[in-house]
Amino acid sequence: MSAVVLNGVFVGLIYGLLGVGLVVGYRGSRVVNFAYAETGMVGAFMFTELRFGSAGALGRDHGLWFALPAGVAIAAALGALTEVLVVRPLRHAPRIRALVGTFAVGTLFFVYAARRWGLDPHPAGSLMKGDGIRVGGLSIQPDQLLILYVSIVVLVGLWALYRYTSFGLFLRATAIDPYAAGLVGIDVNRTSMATWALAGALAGVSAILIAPLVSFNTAFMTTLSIRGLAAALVGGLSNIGAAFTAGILIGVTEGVIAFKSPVSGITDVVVAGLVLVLLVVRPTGLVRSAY
Amino acid sequence: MMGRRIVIPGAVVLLALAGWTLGAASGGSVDRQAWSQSTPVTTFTPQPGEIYVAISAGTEEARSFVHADVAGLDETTLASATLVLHEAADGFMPANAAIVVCALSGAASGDGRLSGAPPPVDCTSRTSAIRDENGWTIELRAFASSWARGDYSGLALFPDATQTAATWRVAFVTGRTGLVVPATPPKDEPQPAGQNTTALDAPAPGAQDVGGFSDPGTGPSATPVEAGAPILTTSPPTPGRSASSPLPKGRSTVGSSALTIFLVGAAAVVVMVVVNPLDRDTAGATARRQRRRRANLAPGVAVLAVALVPLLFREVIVYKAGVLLIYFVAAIGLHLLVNWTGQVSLAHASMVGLPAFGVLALSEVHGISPIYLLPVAVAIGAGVGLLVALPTLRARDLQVALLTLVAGIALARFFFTQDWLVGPAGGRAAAIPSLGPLRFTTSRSLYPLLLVIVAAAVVAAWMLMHSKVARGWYWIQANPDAAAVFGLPVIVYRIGAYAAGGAFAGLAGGLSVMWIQRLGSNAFPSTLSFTYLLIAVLAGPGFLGGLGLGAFVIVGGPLFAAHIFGADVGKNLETLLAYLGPLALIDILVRHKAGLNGLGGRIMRRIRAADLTSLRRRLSGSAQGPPLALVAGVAAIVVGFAAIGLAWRHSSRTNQLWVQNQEFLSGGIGGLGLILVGVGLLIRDRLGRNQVLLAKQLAALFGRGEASEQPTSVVEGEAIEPAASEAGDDDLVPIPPAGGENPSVARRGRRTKLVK
Repeated sequence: MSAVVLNGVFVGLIYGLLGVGLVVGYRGSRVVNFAYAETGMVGAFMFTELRFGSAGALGRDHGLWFALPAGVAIAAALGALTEVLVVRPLRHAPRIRALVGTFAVGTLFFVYAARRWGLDPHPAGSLMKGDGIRVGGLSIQPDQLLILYVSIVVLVGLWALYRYTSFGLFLRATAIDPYAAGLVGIDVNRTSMATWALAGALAGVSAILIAPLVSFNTAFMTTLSIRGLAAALVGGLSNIGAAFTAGILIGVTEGVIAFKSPVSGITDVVVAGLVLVLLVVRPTGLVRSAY
Repeated sequence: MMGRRIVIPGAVVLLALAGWTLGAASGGSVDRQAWSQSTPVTTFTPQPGEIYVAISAGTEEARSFVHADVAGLDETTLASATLVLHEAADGFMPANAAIVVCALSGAASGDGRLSGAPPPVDCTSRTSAIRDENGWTIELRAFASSWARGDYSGLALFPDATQTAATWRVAFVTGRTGLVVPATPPKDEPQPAGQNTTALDAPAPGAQDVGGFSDPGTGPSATPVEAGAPILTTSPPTPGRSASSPLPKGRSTVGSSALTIFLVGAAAVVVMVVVNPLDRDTAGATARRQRRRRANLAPGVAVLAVALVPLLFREVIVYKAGVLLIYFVAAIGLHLLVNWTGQVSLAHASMVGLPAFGVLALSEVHGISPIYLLPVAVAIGAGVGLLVALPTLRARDLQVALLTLVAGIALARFFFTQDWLVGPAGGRAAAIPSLGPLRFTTSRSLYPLLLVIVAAAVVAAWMLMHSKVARGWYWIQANPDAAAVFGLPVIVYRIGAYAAGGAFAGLAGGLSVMWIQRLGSNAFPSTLSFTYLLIAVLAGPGFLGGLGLGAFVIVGGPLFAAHIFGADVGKNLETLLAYLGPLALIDILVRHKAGLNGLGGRIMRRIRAADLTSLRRRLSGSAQGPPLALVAGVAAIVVGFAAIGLAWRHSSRTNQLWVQNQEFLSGGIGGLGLILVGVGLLIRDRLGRNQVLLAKQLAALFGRGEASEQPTSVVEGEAIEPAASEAGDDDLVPIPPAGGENPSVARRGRRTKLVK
């Protein structure tokens, strides 16, 4: 059972990381980014193309230290583009319209990706070499460890950004009340775009990290991001730490249910049922919003 | 008067529709029984480097095979190749088209023989065939890499039982030039004299004919793939279908075209009559109400006529039109939620899918026609809607969207993976749709019934929109707190909206089973919810006009692009649409908040406000234009004779009694009815002219003032009275002076207005 729980934790790390990116975007504009998965996917494919020169037409291997920032930067640019195309013009419209708008942007990204890279799985090379470690009878791959390290760095970095920098202060002020933030001189548009770019970058990082662990095709992020969304919901959509924790909890719960129950598909039902019950009882999520 | 005008042609239309359905369905029944009589079983030995396509009936044994020599083709070529199948002799396209293509694993062909369809566990790679103008097109990309590794050697198809006895024409198309087997029937099966061929027999546009079927029973062809070489062979012929077989060769398109011309013509006559501009010259509240009703009815009749147009085309077009209509019905449910109630559901695919699979399972297990199970589908859909509505008890706004998404995915992941519901890998097959003694074996025969059901759904939505319930929904959408303060049970109304939306979704699910008849577990992916949402958001607040247009653009665009613009242009257009679709959606979201409904409303308002007097004057020399009854009558007679002529022509070209019966019912009786209606309209026009003349003489005789004080009954209750103050100048009809016999009339002016 301990191995199951441990495995669930590492699966949950992925959900948590995706949930954190969604929360960052939501805090900036109160819009859930349905293009999140596709933004990260395009970044990951660009990274793979630059890193291994196999997925597309960019040719030779450009090296990890060029490919990684490039992939993340492309994802960040796509995040900013989403803000400019949809979020900003629909800031005062019902939020469901902006949600549908982000979905349209995601479809646009997906159409491009499907035509450029197809729908078949592509090889995604491992980011770290080595045999990994064994804990409690469970073999932990180097890529899983990398997710753990990066998750910690991301969480600490975001905490520091929001807590100690003036830019973080702008972000928090805009998140709490964009109108008041504008009155005190904060460029709300620029701040909002920066938030979405940050969320896009997180999507890119997540996708690049996850790609070696899954079947790497143009739809690989979609299913995972749904779990990330559940994590963000449980975390109240605005609390980064709570979303990350909820992601881990969902991963562990899934693992345990799958281990205990022989019924196929029951994992999704139970997890969704728990999320639904929780949110019916506590619509604001497990933890209250924190800015 | 209004009632008679609509009821008579409407009754003719409905009678013809019923008659044609009867004819088509009974013909299909004969056809189906005939096909079922020959069910041979064939085995073969796979050879390396060949594609084998086994045509099977679900889990039964494979019954016929085709194979293509692909030795020398590399993975890249295979990946870009498609396999096109359609029946050889007569272009018969069964109603169901959801073919699951399952690659055979090495184990399945390990003993060198394929004596039956592989069990699901052997399916190493799966895809679905896409039905287009050539039949079923199967992209081989999904199989290419495994093929290149030599993991397996064939494909197994699981079509419906109605297709098993058919002989298939197969084309293996590589790239855009294509290698297509010509449109000739197998050599042992000459085409009977007088049999109609359809456009389906034509090879794909731009494709190159390179060979034909080999002699039956000669086994796999070893001919290398090159231009001019036969690359495909069929299996030994099915014993039950020989050249001398008296069995009908499947359904033909004859009859339908005559009927469609008749129906479209009849609908056009109805439209012309109900929007008769003569009636614009009437005034008064009652007349205005009647005008409004007619103005609402006319677009409906016009849409119905357009919906009949696919019957003029091939079976595949009819099939796709049906798919489009089902999307439309499903989107009604979400439209009601999003645009009328202000709620949202991202579980709509599950709301459609669960009823569909429920009905499918019931239909397959108990052999019940899916048509009878439509109410069950509606009930299941409403139940799922209630389930999805639970989050709305506490959550609001965006959270509702996200929670319904989670709920929808959970429902799909659980239920759509259960064998007891969705069946084996090949999916479940519904019973043949039947209604009493009528059996519907083709899309064409089923299409009118589908239209009637869709029309019923539209009427139901219209009644709902004008009900107290919908007013409550609008109120909740505008201001739920105010609605609650005034005593509206907001929660009950919200949950009711989800149940109603689920009911429409359930109907769409049931219709999917009725129409497609075989569904696999992946028929309703969660992403489908977004497609429905796109259609609903694109439509915007209002009735169903924008929704229909949205469905046509988003779903119909990719479906019909190749048909409308040709294969090459269509493919490019499809790519263009894939990019333009999301961009258009963003544009509408940002700039046109009222959506397509708002856009359509603006256009309609402009049309209604347009002054058509000058146009009428140019066309006919008078401001009033030619009497519409005269035009409609002439049109009805011409269309009636055309329908009879077409029916006559088709009947004389076939020796099949059921086809002749169908022609008699559709073109013959329908055309005759239309001629009668036309003659009636001409008589009515003549009588009307006489009465108008009489009215003019009376007006001249007694003077304008007296005529206005004592309205004279003229044309079917119409009277002459002074111009109503609300009427504009364009609506006034000048009456010439009465030759100076009454100077006061000339002095006081001549402007009068016809009213009812």
